[in-house]
Amino acid sequence: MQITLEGKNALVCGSTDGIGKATAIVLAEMGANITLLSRNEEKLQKTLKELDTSIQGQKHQYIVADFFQSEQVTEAIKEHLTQQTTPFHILINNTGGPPLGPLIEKSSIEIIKYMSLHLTTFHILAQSLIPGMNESGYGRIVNISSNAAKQPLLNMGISNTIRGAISGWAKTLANELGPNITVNNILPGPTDTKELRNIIAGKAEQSGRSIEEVYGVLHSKVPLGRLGSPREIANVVAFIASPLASFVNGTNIVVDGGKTGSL
Amino acid sequence: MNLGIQEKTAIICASSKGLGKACALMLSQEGVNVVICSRNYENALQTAQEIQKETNNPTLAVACDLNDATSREELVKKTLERFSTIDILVTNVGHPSHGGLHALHKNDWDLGYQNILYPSVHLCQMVIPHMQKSKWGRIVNISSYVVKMPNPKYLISTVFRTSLLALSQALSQEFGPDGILVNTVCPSLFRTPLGERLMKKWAEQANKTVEEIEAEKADITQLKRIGEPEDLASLVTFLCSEMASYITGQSILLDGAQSKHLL
Repeated sequence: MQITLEGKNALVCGSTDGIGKATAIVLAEMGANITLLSRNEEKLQKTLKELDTSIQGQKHQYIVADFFQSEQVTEAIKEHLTQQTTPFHILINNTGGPPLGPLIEKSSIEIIKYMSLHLTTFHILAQSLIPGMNESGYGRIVNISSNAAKQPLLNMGISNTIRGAISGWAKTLANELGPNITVNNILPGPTDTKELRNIIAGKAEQSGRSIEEVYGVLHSKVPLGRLGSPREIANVVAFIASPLASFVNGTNIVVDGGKTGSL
Repeated sequence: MNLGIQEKTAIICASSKGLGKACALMLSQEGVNVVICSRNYENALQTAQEIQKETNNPTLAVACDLNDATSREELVKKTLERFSTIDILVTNVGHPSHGGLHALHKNDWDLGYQNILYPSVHLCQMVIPHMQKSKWGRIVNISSYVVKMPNPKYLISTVFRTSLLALSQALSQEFGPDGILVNTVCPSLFRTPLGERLMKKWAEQANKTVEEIEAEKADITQLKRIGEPEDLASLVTFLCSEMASYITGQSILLDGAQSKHLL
């Protein structure tokens, strides 16, 4: 079973850290031409150097755009598409998680801000890339969401709300598109990223427990007894983005070491 | 991309043809020792030889009536005699009586339990201790998309195939700490001997051609085609691989977005 993405162009968002970066790395290893999209140009340049180029003709590039500025993303992608001669086949929608806290304490402005960060930007990118996917006869839209879409997490009010919205948005697209474009969500559980390490450090500080204790509690909630690595999430993204997964469409695949205990 | 499962040993239920055979072939291509079983030994042997010839990897043919406890015990015994270990189990069981509530009798329900749920329970009971010894295991239960979208005309299938999800999820929690991952795959209509038989039957009932029925079934998926055995084999092989090391307890739809529901 050869998972190859040779000749495929992939736009990978939020790709200078964590799951997004691991996804860019794995997709490049499988032969895809990667276009990174993030806001920090210095980090983009650094990540670009880490991408595999062993396939003949394999080329990577980046777009600087801030997901918080949806108009900026629209303009940046529009400009990029006018210059690019071949279409994108793969879109990996991914961006950082919203701030913690109970939903009831969040202002409507914050909800709108993060709804825009995730949903609006995902939508703009999908709309921009779908014509090219149709033209090339190959399309994969993979949205990095969270296992919170299945089981809302404590103290993650905005995140839980947005993840649910993304599921509805993605399934609707899956039901509208086809026959050569699939739309799927990957729902990671606790993954060893800088973002999670910061959350854990914050929890430890707030509760007066050691960082190790906080990790211990989290590990105990995962049947595999550990966090996932960004690469373990990226592997699933890569499979779904590949021709091998051509019949997987409209799904929510949880990758969380068994933490979500629902059917 | 190396899937990291060379020289593992896999029992694939009902693998002389259809979905089971496609899974066995793809696993064998990855260097897995595959055990082919069928009620008819000649059929199992023919498939085992065919696969071995194609992949050059060891295969074993076993005559096994999956509905019979002694026969299941023999399957496990012969696998251990030949390969000393069992690392992967792909269950693929039962094709129960169809019909709604009033068309089904106690005997049909008893057979539903005996032919779908219990063979999977029994096989898991027998193979898991061997996986625990090596601290590595993969169990993939092949269920059906009816678990996500119940079909009153296939009541027994709906009820018992849903029970496989509960079994998988519970086992994933219990044996996650042993490095054993348990998942379920939920396919829609596939081009297998069984699928073709069903389409022929539906064609006769509706006074249509088989081609017309297939076109209708393809049309209700968003990808405008029915599933091919290789679609399922790719997903099963991926789930059995090292690449899927953080996915457990999941039920993954494989229906080309035929089901329109969300989660």
